[in-house]
Amino acid sequence: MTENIKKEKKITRDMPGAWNVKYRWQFESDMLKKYLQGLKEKKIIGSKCSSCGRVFAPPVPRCGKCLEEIEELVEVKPQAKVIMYTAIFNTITGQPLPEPKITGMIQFNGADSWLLAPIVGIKPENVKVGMPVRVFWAPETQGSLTDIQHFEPVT
Amino acid sequence: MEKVAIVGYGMSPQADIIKDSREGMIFSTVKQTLEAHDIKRDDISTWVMCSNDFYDGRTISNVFTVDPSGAYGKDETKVEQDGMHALLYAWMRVASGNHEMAIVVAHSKGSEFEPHVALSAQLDPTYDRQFGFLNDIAAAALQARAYLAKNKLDEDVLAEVAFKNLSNAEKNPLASVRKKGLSVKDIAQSPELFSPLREMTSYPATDGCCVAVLANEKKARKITKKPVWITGFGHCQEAYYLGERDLTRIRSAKDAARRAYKMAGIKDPAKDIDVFEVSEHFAHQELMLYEALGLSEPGKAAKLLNKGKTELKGAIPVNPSGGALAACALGTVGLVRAVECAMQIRGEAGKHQVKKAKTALAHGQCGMAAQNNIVAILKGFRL
Repeated sequence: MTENIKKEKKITRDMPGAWNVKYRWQFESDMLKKYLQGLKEKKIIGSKCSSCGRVFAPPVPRCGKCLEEIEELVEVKPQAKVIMYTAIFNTITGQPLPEPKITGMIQFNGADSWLLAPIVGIKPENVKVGMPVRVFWAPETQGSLTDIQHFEPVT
Repeated sequence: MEKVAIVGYGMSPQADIIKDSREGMIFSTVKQTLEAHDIKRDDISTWVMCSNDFYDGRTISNVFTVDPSGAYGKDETKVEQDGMHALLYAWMRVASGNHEMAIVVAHSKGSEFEPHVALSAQLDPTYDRQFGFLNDIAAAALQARAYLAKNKLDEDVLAEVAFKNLSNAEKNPLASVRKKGLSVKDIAQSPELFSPLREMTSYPATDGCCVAVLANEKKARKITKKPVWITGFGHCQEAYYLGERDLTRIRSAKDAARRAYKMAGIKDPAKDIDVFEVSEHFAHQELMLYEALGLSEPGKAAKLLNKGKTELKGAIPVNPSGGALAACALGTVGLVRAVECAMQIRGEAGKHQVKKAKTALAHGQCGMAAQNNIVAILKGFRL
């Protein structure tokens, strides 16, 4: 079978190239708007599927499991816990970070879905799945996604 | 092999902009399809989506459309060519006996990306991208020029094709994108893109979503009194390089049609088929398709058009919906054609209904200058 092994070409050449297509994505902003209004008042707004009862925080406009639109908004508690986490040592292009960063999936009490957010104020080796965390709010909340600056351990 | 029918369909309007997210547009079209045809989501076991990562601006873009399409917890996949390819794969899944029911969901939002920039990424980087002139319209323009020159036709014939289709589209509320009441002269004087193609003889990239539900015979008879059977399918690719193709004809459409006719037992397409819906992204392609589908002798397509045979009330109606020249959400076009055929056969096409449409042909294409062609034959209720 050895004679069938692909022989490499003697001469090849690289050619630089790029794809550059610009987009203008349209999003539904109703739920996002309600969520951001909540953040301004330091409240966490979620949405509840009337069919299966699942609560999504941040809120989503549809439940894929039930193929139903969601209209009901509910407030969930700002107390939360770490569902899972990872410590990040390098940037996406491979540069080492001066300090490792932690990103976690956070579940608010009363919600069924999770929020992706940084966890600050704890060393990677001390983070535990299930540990309680709380929102570290921006000094002045403005109704923006960065109002939740990160989560910190409850001491 | 199981017999397969279209038992439900749905379409969003084809509009310059649908004011909704991609997910919202898909959700409402799928939901409306299931409700309108009294189909339970749990009876469907496989989802075949059609869109394109480039059009969507997301990698493996179907991961985002699982939820709104109803595919949560189901068997789901995506094709990147045309909605007609998605229909072919869904048909195979049911015909093989592996699934009783399948759903096809095709969509794109032309308002959210730059279609000709995205499509130019199809080009081979070594030779075809060097001058920066070639794109999907330029490739089609070369094909148009080759066809017109070979058959000694005037450029006005392109405006005549567009006039027929745009007039039909005025009767189709789901394809109301173009300005109404245009004359052949208006079309012939519309802005030039790549000669001989102009704005009104090239497709408009629109937003849109199209859905079809397929079922095997047992399920189909339970769901509807009007199943539309898919009795033939043919598919063919040709060379990528324009320079290796005879651009005066669409060979792969001819071969695709021949295969579909053989499977469906069509002897004389002009007589055996009552209505044709073809994906003419550019006006000359409709003429080339008359020839490829066997509706006219080579080089005689313009005569067929000029005699009015392919008009809505003609003997061989082609594109009563208005075709791709009227409205074109890229990637949905072939499926829209198949759904239009189903509407015609079921007598649900409204103002653009063709009388006594029992057998229909739907055509889809993709690639530069219609490199890849696919043909389906659809037939009315009694098989």
